[in-house]
Amino acid sequence: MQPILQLSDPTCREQALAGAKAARLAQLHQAGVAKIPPGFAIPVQHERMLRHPAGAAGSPHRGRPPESMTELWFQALDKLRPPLAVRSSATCEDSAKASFAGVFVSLLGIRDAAGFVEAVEAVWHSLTGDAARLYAERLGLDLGGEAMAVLVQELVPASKAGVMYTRFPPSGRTIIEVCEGLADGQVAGAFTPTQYQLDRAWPQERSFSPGAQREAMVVEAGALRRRPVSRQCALTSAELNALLAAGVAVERFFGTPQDIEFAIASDLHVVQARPLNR
Amino acid sequence: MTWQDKLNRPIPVLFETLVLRGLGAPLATALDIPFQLGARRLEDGNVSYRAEDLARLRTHLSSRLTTEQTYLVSFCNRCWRRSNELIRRSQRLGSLRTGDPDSTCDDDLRRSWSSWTEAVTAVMPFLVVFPAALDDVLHQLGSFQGVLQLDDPGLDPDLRASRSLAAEEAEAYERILRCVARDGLLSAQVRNGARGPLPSRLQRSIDTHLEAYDWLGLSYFAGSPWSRDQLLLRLAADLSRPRPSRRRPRVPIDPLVLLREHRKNALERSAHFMRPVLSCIAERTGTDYDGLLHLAADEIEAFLENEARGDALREKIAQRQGGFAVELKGGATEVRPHRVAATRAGGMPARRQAGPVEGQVASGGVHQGRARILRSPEDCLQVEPGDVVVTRCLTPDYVQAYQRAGAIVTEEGGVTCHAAAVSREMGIPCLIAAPGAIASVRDGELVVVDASSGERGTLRKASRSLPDGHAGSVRRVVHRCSSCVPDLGISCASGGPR
Repeated sequence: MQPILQLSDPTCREQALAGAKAARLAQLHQAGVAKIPPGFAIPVQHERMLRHPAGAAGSPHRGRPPESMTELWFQALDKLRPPLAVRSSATCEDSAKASFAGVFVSLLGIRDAAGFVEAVEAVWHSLTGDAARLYAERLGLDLGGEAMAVLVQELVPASKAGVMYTRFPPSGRTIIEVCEGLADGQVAGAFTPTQYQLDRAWPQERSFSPGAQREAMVVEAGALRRRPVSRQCALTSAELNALLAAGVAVERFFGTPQDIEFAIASDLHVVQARPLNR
Repeated sequence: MTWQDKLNRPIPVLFETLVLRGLGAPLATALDIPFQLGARRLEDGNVSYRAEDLARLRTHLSSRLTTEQTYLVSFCNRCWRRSNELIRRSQRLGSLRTGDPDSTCDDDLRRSWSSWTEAVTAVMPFLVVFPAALDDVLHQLGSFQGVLQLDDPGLDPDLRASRSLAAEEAEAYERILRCVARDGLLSAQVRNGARGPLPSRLQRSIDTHLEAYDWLGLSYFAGSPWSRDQLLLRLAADLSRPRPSRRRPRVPIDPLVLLREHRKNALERSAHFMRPVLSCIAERTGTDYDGLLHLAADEIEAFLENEARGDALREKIAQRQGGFAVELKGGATEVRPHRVAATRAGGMPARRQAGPVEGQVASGGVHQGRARILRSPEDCLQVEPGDVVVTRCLTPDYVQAYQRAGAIVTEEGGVTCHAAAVSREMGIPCLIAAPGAIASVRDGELVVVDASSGERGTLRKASRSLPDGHAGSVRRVVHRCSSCVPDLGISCASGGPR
């Protein structure tokens, strides 16, 4: 049985083993470029083991994960503090041409072992789900050779979170969109977030437009809660500077403009970094 | 100083106007104020409070309210004051006529006013207690179109279906409702030429409206000058049409929903009563009803004192129609352009947009196709290849829509959301945060999404129809041009340099 890959393991940097999302975060973590929430990856071999031979009808996966496999998972889980984020990390995900944004499943707020196993299975199944099939069809991709790793991380109890495009194609400007609480609703497009646009050479001259968020998802006492938003999110100068610095560092490290998802608790955490598509 | 900074600054609140008009008690109840207010009812129906109670109430409220609530209250307060001034003024306007020689305008105005006060009294605590609905409320207070908001997304599904009323139908509908509002004028108006069979669809929509909203009922506003039955009788007699059988409305279960509906009901009703009054004045100022709503009471009053100043007034209106904010400064109010409303969804989105709707370009390109409005993920099945998908927000549940869409327009969301990223990969134009997009197009209509230049793009009706097979050709042409002639400056499909 392939062992679990901690984000600090050198092998976790391999996209073919840990999937794109986990591999890129492991690279950032090990090079000390950005702060990454602690976690591990369930390697793609675990998903492949349970897959039917190609062409078989019905559910793409047979049976539940065996105990020898879940035992490995649970050992790794002991080192993490719930609630957890269980996220897709497919081998084909997060590339510049196909981000698979919102296509694969990621689940937040997992607190116990039973929920964890279900979440992992849900992430696996999303590789062959309708959403992935339709998406791949439109882009002319073949998912046959791809596999799904699962990235498991502690959920950052974020007060603010969002996405930064280090250089948005038409203007080359940096765009930061941020909301109160976790950013899952924002990235899904459920509401208009607060937006900053700036030129990195002149960060003081930025444009700001407040969002229209009504409800924020927050981590409270180890569980996810929704609370109404009374004031639209705004970043302090310190937060904005930290974000810009992190954006530059990550962009330099990978060598291309990045689409970075971040969460601000007391520190700035990078929870995803992928090349900005086209 | 940004708009946000201004909001974050403590603003003094003028509660006196609210409180003096007898709103102290409902406010106190709504905000759970821990002391008694000594009140005395005056002869004119107003309520007087002890000065020290007022001071306590004010301090208490100021410490309890968030800035948004404060802003909201001051906004309501202002609207309320404006109407109050208006009506006082109107009582002196002996020569003001509604266009009907049989009526005395004063009577009509006074009656409208009493109903309006009642409506506002009822609605005020809701406004204060539910600040989360700030946008909603500002919107309603700002546009004041009341019952004539046929495209209000809050209306029930049956009524929504009737939104595609043709212009003349809508006009007839408005005419009827205005007649109704003037009560005594109804028969006179009908006599004067408004008689004629109503289109059946219009008739249905009136029925649905009456039924669903009960806005002419007496359950909520006791003491209304008209009873529902009287009105219906009148309508039935004057239009000489048998009324079709009415269905029972669905009863909302959630008390909050009920409360929200009551609030909406009250607002619509109040707007409904104020409309004829404002229309009279609008006629005089040489502007239209909607324009008049952008003025403060003192400004209108100043105009009525000296009617020569109409030009300045109209200029002011045009300026404010781009969006405005009301700011309180040491007890005086100041109206200034509202930056947020002017630049983005926020303040008061425009209703029934005639021109193109603007949004932020998330993925570049130009595309022409049939508009397909998606209200739920099930609607995705109706999307044909090349359609322009128009929706409030495109969450991953709508993935089937991406697969065939030729362009995407959403009313909410950010340029970094999943839908934006996916549309860039698929090379289809995408506009995000385009408020009013749904209201501006009809399902199946040929529209153009132009996201070809810069950061702002537009959604507009196609100027000429292309045969069915040609939908989408515009995008392909642009695609070709930009790939072989980069100097054209057209950023296509993804907008990136190629």
